[in-house]
Amino acid sequence: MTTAPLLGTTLYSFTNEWVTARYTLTELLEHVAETGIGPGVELVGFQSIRDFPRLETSFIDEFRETTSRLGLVPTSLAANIDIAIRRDRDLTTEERVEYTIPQIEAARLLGFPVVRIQIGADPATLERLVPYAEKAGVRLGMEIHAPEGPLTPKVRAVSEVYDRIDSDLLGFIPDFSSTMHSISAGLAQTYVEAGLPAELLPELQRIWAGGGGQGERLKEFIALAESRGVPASTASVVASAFTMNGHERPEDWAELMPRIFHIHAKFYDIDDNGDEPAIDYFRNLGPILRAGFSGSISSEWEAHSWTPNAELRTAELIRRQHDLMRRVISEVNA
Amino acid sequence: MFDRYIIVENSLRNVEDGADIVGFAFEARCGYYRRLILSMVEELAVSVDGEAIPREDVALTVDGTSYSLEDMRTEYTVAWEFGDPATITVRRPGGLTAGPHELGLAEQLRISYIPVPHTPSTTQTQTVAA
Repeated sequence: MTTAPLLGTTLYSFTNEWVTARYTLTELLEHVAETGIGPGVELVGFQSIRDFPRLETSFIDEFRETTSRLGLVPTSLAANIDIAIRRDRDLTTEERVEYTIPQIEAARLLGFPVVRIQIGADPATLERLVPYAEKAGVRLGMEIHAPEGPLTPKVRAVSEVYDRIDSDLLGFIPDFSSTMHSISAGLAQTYVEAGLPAELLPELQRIWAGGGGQGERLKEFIALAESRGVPASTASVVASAFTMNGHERPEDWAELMPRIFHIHAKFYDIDDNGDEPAIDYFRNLGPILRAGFSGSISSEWEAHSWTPNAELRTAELIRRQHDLMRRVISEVNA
Repeated sequence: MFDRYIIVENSLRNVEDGADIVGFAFEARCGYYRRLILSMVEELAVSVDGEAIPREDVALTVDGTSYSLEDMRTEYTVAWEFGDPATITVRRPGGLTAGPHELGLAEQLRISYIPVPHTPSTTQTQTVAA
């Protein structure tokens, strides 16, 4: 059996272009189509759509017309359940459900078959949302992002809830930020720019790759930096390495099959060999494909938060990352 | 995350009320990757030439309506759209002198699923026109 997942892009990769108003949504979709980094398209509702989840009919029509004209395929609509809107208390289950239903409805109206949800979706909320998802004909995929991983306790707890609710509409969206083999070099460089001595980077990589929880490893690094005369306030800039880049075992993603129906193919860079220097795509994507995955994959380029605007080559990088994923797919199918 | 974009370049100016200069204003973007409801904006710490501005003198104007930081605590509907500059106005009789000023902004944002507040910040020099 050969496997042929649908490759595509999340417009989140174009956050820089978006924040500086370089494109309208329609223009960005045209750019994705022209540069050949579709056909799948994912977007973050609260990023790309004004007034989301309220949708004007004219917006729905334009989005559907544009994606159909360009041959793009809506894959996943990223939703957010903002449980901490209030300062005095978290939203109740009822309020979380009410907050999410219009986002599920927006997915239906725009033609997205999957709604990306996050780990904040608690069991009671999930259970209540299933009938709405069923009515809308969409699936709910919980994103697993660093510092969580395929088999971390919070994700195991969700798997147990899924077993109990027993609905095909509930699944997972792995994000390869969870399963990296080193801190992205670009992210590490931002720490040097923020004042961390560059000679501490090898120690940072070593401690990051070691055992223990993310908090313990961060403390270990700060203590080491202090012993070298670097103040804790400076050394603590590295905290994001432990939350944004995880080092769980990539092969474990396969354990979540057949519940994976969409993937966030996180990446930061593609080197001269066509590989992601900090994420082993053969170890990440390969086992999921061998376990029978045939869903959609969104390229999620996240080095945009430190890449200077003048140096943006977003579509070109994504095209090269698609080439990398095609290599993995060919190897699995060989 | 998008610290470098939160202050819109060349937007600093004095604010007049009739014949009086009552303060200064500049344009700012939400420093998260998506829009946030105003109740999730906990602080907008403004500084000018190294001097911290008292929080009660700061207001954010979104779609023509101004909100103090206290007003924003319970504003559960209006949102600061991603990429859309909103106006930060600072009450300061006399405003700023013409010429360059070091303008600082730190936004403390409450991100619902991340327990620690997210605080993008930046400082840049902007010039108030004579």
